Amino acid sequence: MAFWSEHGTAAAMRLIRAKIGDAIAGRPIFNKMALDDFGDESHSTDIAFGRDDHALAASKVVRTRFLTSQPLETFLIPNALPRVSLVTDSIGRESLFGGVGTALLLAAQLANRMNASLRIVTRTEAPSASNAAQILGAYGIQLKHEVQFAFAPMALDGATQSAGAAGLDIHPDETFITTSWWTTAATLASVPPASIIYLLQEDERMFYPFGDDRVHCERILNNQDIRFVVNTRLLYDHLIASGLDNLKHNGSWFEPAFPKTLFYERQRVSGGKKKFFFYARPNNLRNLFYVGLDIIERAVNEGILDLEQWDLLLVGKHIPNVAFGNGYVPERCEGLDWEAYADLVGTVDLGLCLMYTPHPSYPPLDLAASGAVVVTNKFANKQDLSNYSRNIICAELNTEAALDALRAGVALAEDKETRARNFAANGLGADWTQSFEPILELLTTAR
Amino acid sequence: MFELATPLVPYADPWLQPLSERLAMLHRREVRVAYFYEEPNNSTFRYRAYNMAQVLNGCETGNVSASYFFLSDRERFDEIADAADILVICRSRYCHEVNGLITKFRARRKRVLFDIDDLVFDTDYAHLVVATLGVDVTKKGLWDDWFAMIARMGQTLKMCDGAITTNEFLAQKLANYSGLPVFVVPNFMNKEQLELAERIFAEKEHARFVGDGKVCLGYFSGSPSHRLDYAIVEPALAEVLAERPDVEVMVVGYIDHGPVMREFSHRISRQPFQDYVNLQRLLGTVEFNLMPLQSNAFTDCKSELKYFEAASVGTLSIASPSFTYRRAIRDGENGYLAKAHEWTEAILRALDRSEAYEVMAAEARRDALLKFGWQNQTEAIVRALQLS
Repeated sequence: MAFWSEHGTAAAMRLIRAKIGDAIAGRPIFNKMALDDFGDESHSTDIAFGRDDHALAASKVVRTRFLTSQPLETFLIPNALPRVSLVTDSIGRESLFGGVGTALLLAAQLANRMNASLRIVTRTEAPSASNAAQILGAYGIQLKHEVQFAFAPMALDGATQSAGAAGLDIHPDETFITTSWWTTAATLASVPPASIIYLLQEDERMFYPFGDDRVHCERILNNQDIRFVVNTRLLYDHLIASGLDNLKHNGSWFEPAFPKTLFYERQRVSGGKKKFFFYARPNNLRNLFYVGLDIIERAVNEGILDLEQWDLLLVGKHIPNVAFGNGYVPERCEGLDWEAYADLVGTVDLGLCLMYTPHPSYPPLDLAASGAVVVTNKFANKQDLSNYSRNIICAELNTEAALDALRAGVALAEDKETRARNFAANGLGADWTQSFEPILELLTTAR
Repeated sequence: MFELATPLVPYADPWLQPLSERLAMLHRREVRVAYFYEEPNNSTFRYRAYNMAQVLNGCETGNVSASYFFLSDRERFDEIADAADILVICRSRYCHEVNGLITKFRARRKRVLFDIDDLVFDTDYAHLVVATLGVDVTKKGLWDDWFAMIARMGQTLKMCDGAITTNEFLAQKLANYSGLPVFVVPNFMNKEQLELAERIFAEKEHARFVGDGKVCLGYFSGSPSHRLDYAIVEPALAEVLAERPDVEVMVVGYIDHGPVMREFSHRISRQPFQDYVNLQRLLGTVEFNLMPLQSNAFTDCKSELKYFEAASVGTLSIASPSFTYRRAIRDGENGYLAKAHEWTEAILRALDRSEAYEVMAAEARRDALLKFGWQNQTEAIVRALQLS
């Protein structure tokens, strides 16, 4: 379940097919001991193996536990045209919101800046060219050169290499953009550290309890030889303040952009109810799904959210069928594609988007960029997001404070004049090229 | 799809002549070129030896004759070396017999050239070649086979005085590897192909390129080694089939479809591998010829042949922007180019420009004949043989 939740249906189907293949071939699939379910954010799988009569090699036990950081299988080829390779889990439809989309845009712009070709390497699901086309098209990015797609799956049985695969060709001076500590670990094992740019979009240590995963993660974050590009100044400052001194000299940051062609206020149905948006991802613990449910339930019961005036939308993934107040069942919005999501966000009046990390995360900014009011939570140095938009209200993570913020949010959403004035004064960037410019300059001149 | 009244032509490999006839062909003129290939086939041998000899022998004003020989002619290598002025070893692996043949020409102070159409002479690229072809690397003996084959090609190349190849990209690789002078003679269409192509094009032109109401996208694979190339276009094919009920797909050769195509199986036709002349007819029945290629140094070495064979029969191509395709195809004028993430858009764009089809098809044929018709290759061949 953890694997499915983290990597999506296509990757899970691949795992199941492999296991069926094992069964047909008479190879063991599961045994008596299942590795622990490490929670929703774990990169581990719940492939079971282990405690029967024969001992397993320790190295294999470790490799199977940390499937997604298995080294990329590579082989060197002679110098060729420059290339930027983006290494990520998946560019499946569900993966493209937020972080992966940003990684694709950065990789594409860096490739163009370097007059290089772009390669997209995925590990849990075969890459979809049309999904990449959709993102690049939505942001108007024309690649100068051909794009390549490569699937470099992990060996699900803990073997050192996927059976039969020739591996990924790499150039001696190729640039790699990695997108998580585990894709960075996988890449670090196979290419020179100086060629890696780790796009860091969250304090990934916070994905884990204190344990093996966190140690592995922290080792990568402490790496002195790779370069880091951090999504938002807030996160960059937090990472340094929390002990990652290396980012002072090998890290830089950028602020995301929200193009006005995609994020804008849409036409509402006249006389219709106002829309309340809750970012609902129960399997992503940092989004505090249950804290949010509790806040909404209280807001409904206390009349802060008057259901005569507000439609409630739960937007996310794996959302349970819940009811608020006296049996009100909100609309669940899942599996939206890029444009459908933007269309929806453009009709929202008020959002509640929680993120139990220093990163502002995308949904509050998407909403603010589209004219909505948003309530989010404070965390560490994330105390005030008014530099992005005065329509973003940051609340302490206690219920009363959150309810007060929602109350203020409702008032602001209904105060069309102030809301519009705040929207007009937004400090959000609208052009990714401008957002990336200092980073691209730094990355290309430092080479 | 175009319904053609032009019938299939009876076909037999035209190069299966007895040695006496091939020797007689060599002796016809004053300056004589012997092309050598290990054994004849309808791919590299046809393009790089048979077609070359056809051009040289067909040139009415020239004084050069040519013929082709094989390992099976080994008993007569001395006679060939006496008769010929130049030996062109086409894509042949080093062995004692090849060395012996080259030595015989060298002993007679005659020039030996190496002709190759693929990046299979430098072992630095062996792994890339294996990866591009999607070969199972766990197969026993695989690395021995590939490294041996490529190293043997490279060794034959190094024994020669110069090289000839199909495009500038590959020429540079050859020069880098061998330090030899390298000349380019493109792959091109021969008489038999063009005779049939002319009839097919005339028939389509007469019908103003009006088909049967369905639009057919063709993938002509040639060999199973194009599985990974086909994988580039397959998701786009599924999307186009889902969106356009009037579109059908024809797959020629050995390619197997993935699961995304299952629901469209009633709109997919399969054709077996064809002889190269009647392949022209089959090419002429489809509106668009799809030419996806993985992007790397190996595929950048591929020739334009899929483009010009389709163009000669008035069929437009949609191709990956490999080194040769992006030089041969002017997007929107004589075909279409599609980067790996643009296939759906490119196919839909091509489908939606039906009004431009006739003009583009005529332009593609004109361009293909000019650059890749056998009639126009004499100069390049003579220059490459350093006979001019």
